[in-house]
Amino acid sequence: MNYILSIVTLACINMVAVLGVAVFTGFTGLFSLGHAAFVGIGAYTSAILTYYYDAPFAPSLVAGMIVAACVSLIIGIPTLKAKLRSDYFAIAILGFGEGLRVLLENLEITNGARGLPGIEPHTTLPAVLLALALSIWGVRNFLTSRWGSACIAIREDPVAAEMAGVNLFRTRLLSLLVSAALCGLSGGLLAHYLSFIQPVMFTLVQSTMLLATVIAGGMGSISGPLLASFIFIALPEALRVAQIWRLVAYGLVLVTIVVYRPQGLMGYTELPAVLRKVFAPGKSSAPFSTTPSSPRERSTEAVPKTAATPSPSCEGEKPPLLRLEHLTKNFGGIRAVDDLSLSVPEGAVYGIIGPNGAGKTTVFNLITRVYRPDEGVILFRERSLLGLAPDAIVHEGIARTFQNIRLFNRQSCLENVLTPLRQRAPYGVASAILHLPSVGRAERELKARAMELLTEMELAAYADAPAATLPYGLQRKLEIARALAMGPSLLLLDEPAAGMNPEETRALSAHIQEIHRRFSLTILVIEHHMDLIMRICSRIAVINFGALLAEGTPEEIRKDERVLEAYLGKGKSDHAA
Amino acid sequence: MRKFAVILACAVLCLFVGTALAEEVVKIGHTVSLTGGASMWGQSEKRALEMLIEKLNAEGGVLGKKIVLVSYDNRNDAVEAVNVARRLVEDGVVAVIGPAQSGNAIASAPILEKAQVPMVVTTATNPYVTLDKKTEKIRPFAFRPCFIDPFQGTVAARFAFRDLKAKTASILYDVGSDYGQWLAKYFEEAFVKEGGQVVAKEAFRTDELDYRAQLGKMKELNPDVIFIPTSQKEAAMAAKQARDLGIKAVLLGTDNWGSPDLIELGGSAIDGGFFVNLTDLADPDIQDFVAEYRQKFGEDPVLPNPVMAQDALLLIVDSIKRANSFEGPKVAEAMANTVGLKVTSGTLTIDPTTHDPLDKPAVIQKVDVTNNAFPFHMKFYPQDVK
Amino acid sequence: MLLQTLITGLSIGGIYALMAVGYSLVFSVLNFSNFAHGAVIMLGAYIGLGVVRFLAPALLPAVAIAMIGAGVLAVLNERLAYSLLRRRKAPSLYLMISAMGCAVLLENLVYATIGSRFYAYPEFFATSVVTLAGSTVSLLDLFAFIFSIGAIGGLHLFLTRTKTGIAIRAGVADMTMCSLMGVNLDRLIAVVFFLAGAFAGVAGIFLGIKYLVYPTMGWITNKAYIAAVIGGLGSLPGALIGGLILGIVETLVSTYISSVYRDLFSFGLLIALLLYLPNGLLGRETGEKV
Repeated sequence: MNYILSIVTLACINMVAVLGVAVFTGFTGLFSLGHAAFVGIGAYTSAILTYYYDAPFAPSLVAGMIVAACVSLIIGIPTLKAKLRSDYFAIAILGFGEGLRVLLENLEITNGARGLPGIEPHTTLPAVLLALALSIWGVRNFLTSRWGSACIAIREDPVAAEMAGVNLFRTRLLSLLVSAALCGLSGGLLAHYLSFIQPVMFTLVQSTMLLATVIAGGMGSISGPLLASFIFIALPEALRVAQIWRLVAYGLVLVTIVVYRPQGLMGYTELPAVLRKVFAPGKSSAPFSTTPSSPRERSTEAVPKTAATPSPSCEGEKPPLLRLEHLTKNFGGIRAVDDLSLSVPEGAVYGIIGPNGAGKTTVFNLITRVYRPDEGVILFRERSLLGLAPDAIVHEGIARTFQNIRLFNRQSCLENVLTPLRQRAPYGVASAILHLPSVGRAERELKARAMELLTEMELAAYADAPAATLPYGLQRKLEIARALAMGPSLLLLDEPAAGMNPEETRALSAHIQEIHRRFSLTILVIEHHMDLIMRICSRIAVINFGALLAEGTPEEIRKDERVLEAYLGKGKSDHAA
Repeated sequence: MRKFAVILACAVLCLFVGTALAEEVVKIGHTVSLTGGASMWGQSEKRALEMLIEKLNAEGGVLGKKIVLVSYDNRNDAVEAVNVARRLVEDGVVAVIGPAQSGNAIASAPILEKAQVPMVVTTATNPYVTLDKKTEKIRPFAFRPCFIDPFQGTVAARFAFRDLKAKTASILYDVGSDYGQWLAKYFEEAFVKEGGQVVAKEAFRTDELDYRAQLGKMKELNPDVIFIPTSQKEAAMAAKQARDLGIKAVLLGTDNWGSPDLIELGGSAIDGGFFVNLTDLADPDIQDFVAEYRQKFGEDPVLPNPVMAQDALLLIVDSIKRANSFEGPKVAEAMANTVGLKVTSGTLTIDPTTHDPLDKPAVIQKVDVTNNAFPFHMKFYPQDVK
Repeated sequence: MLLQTLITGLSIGGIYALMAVGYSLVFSVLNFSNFAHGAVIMLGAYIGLGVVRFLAPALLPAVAIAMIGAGVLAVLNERLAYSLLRRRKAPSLYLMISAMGCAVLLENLVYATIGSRFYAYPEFFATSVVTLAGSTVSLLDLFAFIFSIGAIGGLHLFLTRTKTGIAIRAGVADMTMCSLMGVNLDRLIAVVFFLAGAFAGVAGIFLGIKYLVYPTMGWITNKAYIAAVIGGLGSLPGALIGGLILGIVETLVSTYISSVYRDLFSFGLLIALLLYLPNGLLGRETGEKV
């Protein structure tokens, strides 16, 4: 019995670390080959405190978590700030983990490779279960908060996440901190359970195992990795003799799962949800009911008051909302945008047209800071946007959609809209993890507001459906809803009618006009459908080879000789093809 | 796969026998590396124990009960060793043989101590196996039949200084291995005490393959001997690379060199090296054992573990007899007072104040590549180096 | 001493480069870190060893068969573990994980079947040394170094001068475009993996001769990954330069600062370099298309 309990204890200790990796790799989508080092830091910190300084157990564990989190900052801040691509990040954190082990092997206080024997065995099964329960609770709270949805948004699509107001660096760093702290806790428990630690316990192999467990259990699930962790530990114990083959099985499981069932054991769901489905198959998830006191009032709250419904006719008298001056961007030898100057009046629906490859989308990418312009200025409300990060630009009031729809595919429609709304939620990390009442209140309000937006876009019926399951046209709408959730004053639409038939296009035109009116927006739209552009735009810019060819009202553009020659004729034949 | 089936069958048999004959048998635990890098010694160790138990049981077992060996694989991993120790306690063993590695032994010791189960390690030579590092007190339930690292380091240093006439030495060790770190320290202390000079002490990290940077530095300092307290794998690579760099110094190693494949791995580069060992295939005291093992398994035992494991088992059986009890504390007390017990490697006297043997000699073996052998060179007794 | 240190550094760096080339080649086409490369190197070493032991105790047949064998294994590896993911256009994270799984699988398969014992190659080069201005170079090191440079140069020529090579480089530039233009993508990728595997086979034999053969020998490839990242992932000259830089830095740190803290320096160098040059020394920018 004792022995079984000891296996359970070890499995639970391992689960705490797995939980940490799940937050980082499973939910934020960053590949880590160095998390065993954080387990090691936690183990050594807490063990040194109880060993040399006779510190009490619980505070030592907390100290281990804090030190592990602080150490994670050393690697996290530089690498995440530099936005290393995932392979480089994986190698960097691998190097970091190995480097930390060099320190553990050589420091006097860690007793080098000889390890620390005789640590007081404070860890008991109840203590481990308590720690695990608290960890699961905290992680669950964290993941259902604004931070968690920011993490998931990054995993689903980093660029779209930024455009939903998520700060990549801060969110990723926070996720790393939380995961390092959990690994640190696991290390502290391990040290006081084994009563002996050595640097060799915290190597790349252990990091790989943690990762394998998370992948096998399912990225984006908490219960999956926990289940996998238990299976991975319990099964080989039960079949103690088959040990040579244990690691072979690890590898095989990992490859098979990634290739044939990339969603892992649990996929993107949780065990309770699955059980509920199994035991109550008839009952579908309760429809979201909102009882906002006065919907109209709330929806205007999301919109900055500054945008005071101007009519398209009175433009020109105010300063333009957005001004591009001498904007230039080169890719290699190709000049994608060439000395482009534009000004978009407040309240206008402004169209940008031009042949394929003319640099239209690049203009959007420059405005939203996906790319940095080589030359030129971008002014929004007469303030330069050049110094701002993408998410800060979104918070300034510029939201966009993408030519090739970029939703958070596996998230529900509600979550897609909720993510940007949450980025302004009025609560902090600590209260989110502890799930203080204020968090619940704020979340309820945000959900109600998200529901309103969905209703507004006629998507309420799909609130709980994963975004990827929506028909194409509705995905476009959802993307607009997500952009509107940022409460923008300028909305950038990148080919909203792409792939639509004339009928759908007409409906979309009406819809854009409706949004324009309802949310008092300025809209900048790229489109190939000339009828849509001509119908809804008050001004149009024509771009060719990255440079401005003509600019004016639809009538002026229609009559412009150069446009007719260079674009419209060709554009029409393009369209027919 | 066949091996796997055999092990499975053995385990099932053990369990079956263990439960069916609970009254008539006494279980002795065995924590050993049957897989991983140390499996060669582990497998041989297990065979030697089974061979001896068969003999003991034929002679009537101990206190009228048949001995059953309960072996579990600790994979040469400290966490696994702890698991195995707990499992053995649960299985109700009266004493435990192993582990062979100091790190695993140190990790297991507190568990067995708490359960009051005597532990006799086989080749764990670190002082802190029988000594609690924190309190510097003796661990009441930990014993060993092998010498300890300070003695091994001292023997190596004395041999280098007095017999090889080395005035300068350098050390190349694995910083990631507790074994290497300890022995480097003991050798340095002893060599300096002898009057020699350690000109370079260079380390590499576990799993590293290239030591030429470290060796290149040593080449400049031109030491008479290079002390390499590592296993045979690192020793072989270090030897090759040293010769590649044109280093002519004598290479000196420790008991972990004593592996049958040292010569195959090191080739001509390792020729003429010396190492300290616990026993030697040519040791006259163990000839009966070697012959019996050869006859039974058709190959040489992988020394020194099988001999040390047999010593450990004999120590346990003798102590149970003298204590006339299977109770842990009584057996441990008897163990601490063992004097002149006849064991496989010779005689065994346990020092009650350290739980280490008082009369375990160290042998020096030479590496002879031409004859593919480790001929016996000389022997040191503890009193020689006092 | 400095000269000797540099020579040793170059020789170690040459081996890193040889291991890094195959890894970087795969990266340049498929844009993911093939962590299974180390395992293929290990298998290459075992294949070579088998040839030497059971077929012909000579270097050349061993190298040839190991190259072919490891190349075939690498292609199989791609077919079984990556091709489905590739067709599904899975994010590179999944490919990396699959590769990691392959590494664990292959390594432990060797453990479970061949066993954990160490093997050595016979001594092809008697431990003869060449003396250069008071410093010594072993014949093997010299040979390995020249061979590495030559092989990497040959690969570079292949990629820039032959039709298949140019097709591969076009694939690097735009995979979809390539398939539109009627290039057989699967065959192209098979060629890439075969080449990467062949290089792994050579690297495995050199590692085996220089050091030893055992199941976890592939772990040393971590250093090659770091070298490739320093040089810029996906760039062959980058892999060579990165390998040499890492080898020299490591040797210099070991000799003049501390052999124990050496890895701290090499990893520090890696991270510092990535902060200033997020794409390594010669890597191209791999910005995401929006």
